[in-house]
Amino acid sequence: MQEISSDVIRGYNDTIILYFLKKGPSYGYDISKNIKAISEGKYLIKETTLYSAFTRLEKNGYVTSYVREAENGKKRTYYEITEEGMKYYKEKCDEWQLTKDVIERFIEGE
Amino acid sequence: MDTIRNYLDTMFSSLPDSEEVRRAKQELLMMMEDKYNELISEGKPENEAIGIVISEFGNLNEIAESLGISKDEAANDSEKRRHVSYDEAIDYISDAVTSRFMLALGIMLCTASPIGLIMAGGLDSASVLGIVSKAASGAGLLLLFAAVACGVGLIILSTSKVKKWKFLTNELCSIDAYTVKNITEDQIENQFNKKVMLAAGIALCILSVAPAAIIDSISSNNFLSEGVAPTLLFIMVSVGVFLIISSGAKESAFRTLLSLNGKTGIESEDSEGNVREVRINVEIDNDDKEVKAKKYKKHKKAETGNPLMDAIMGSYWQIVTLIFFVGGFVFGEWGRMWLIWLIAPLVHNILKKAY
Repeated sequence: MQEISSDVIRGYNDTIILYFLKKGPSYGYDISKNIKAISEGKYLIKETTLYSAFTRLEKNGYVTSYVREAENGKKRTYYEITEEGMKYYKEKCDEWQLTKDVIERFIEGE
Repeated sequence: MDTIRNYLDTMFSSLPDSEEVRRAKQELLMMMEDKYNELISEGKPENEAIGIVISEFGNLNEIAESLGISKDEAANDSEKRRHVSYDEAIDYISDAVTSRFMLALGIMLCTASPIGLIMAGGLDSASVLGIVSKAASGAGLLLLFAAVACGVGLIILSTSKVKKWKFLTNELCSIDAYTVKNITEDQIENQFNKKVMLAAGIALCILSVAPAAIIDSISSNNFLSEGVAPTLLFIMVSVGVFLIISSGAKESAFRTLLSLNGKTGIESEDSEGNVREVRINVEIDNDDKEVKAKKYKKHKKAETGNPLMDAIMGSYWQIVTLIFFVGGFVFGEWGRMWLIWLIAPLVHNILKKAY
């Protein structure tokens, strides 16, 4: 099976994460699990990719984080989307529509 | 779970101890633990779960920015160290395993060397074969010398096999993330083999007394009880020792490699612990030269190029062989003297480190 190229998807990792956070606060593994499920196993996000996306999103003010105790008593960081993040998500969706529209003109089907 | 933690420790070991780094490590560990626990609850075996978690971890370069360090900064730090490539790491593992195998084989040969003599002794005490038993003890003696010669040869060769890798302990080295990942995976895979070999070795050593007990209880034949039974004991012990020594071969090579990134300085040469252990050696050896060397050492700790010590280390295995023969022939202690082949390599390591 052909694997998805991390170069291509890099610009949209943030968008994917924000998609889940729009539905409510969440944490690292939960998001990684959901990405795998919705992409039907076609995209597995690496832990390092996920972590770097979280810190970038937080630095840009698109998400905030807080620590909650997990079932096993350990501390788990939850992320929550901000107003800014909502706006950014919308922008990225529009950007993707445009990108898709343009690129598709150059892609040949089988 | 420890494997995952160790893997992260190794990956992070060359990074500065800052707030960002600690937080990243904590977060990554949490994500990996979550994934691991889920895989386990899905019924995956532990090793497979660890393998999946590590292979999906990704690359630390990706989070360099989040850590507040530039990629170059990380690179500069590792440039000061001698980089050990993946191919080199593989070469090292193969050399280290071969060397350990030779050592184990050498010790096995030496340990088993008296069996010819014992068999001959058994024939003699059965006293049915007269002249044949004289020939047998001659052959046994020949076998003893041949086995010890081969064994000691192998033991000496085994150290030369890893000589070119000395820099791994003498210099600060580093390995890259790809190597860490692959070695960690190999290490997980090797766990099973290691445990089986170790268990088999220990079982053989424990069971080695069984043939003698069985033979004693079912037969009063002198040849069986004084020849065959102790021979079987020696064979089982020597094969067991071989397995025990070889079992850790890969593991110790993996550990050496995985600890490279975490090292911040060259190991200091001397410690009281070493001195004490060497003293025990002196008692075992009862060798004048060793005692003198010991006294000399007390005054001049950790001086390299000590001529007396050089001489002793140079002919270390010859000395050990001599003690082995003296103990065996003069005191008739073959039953205990084989232990020297287990103690000697340990003492050799301690002496080498101390000087």
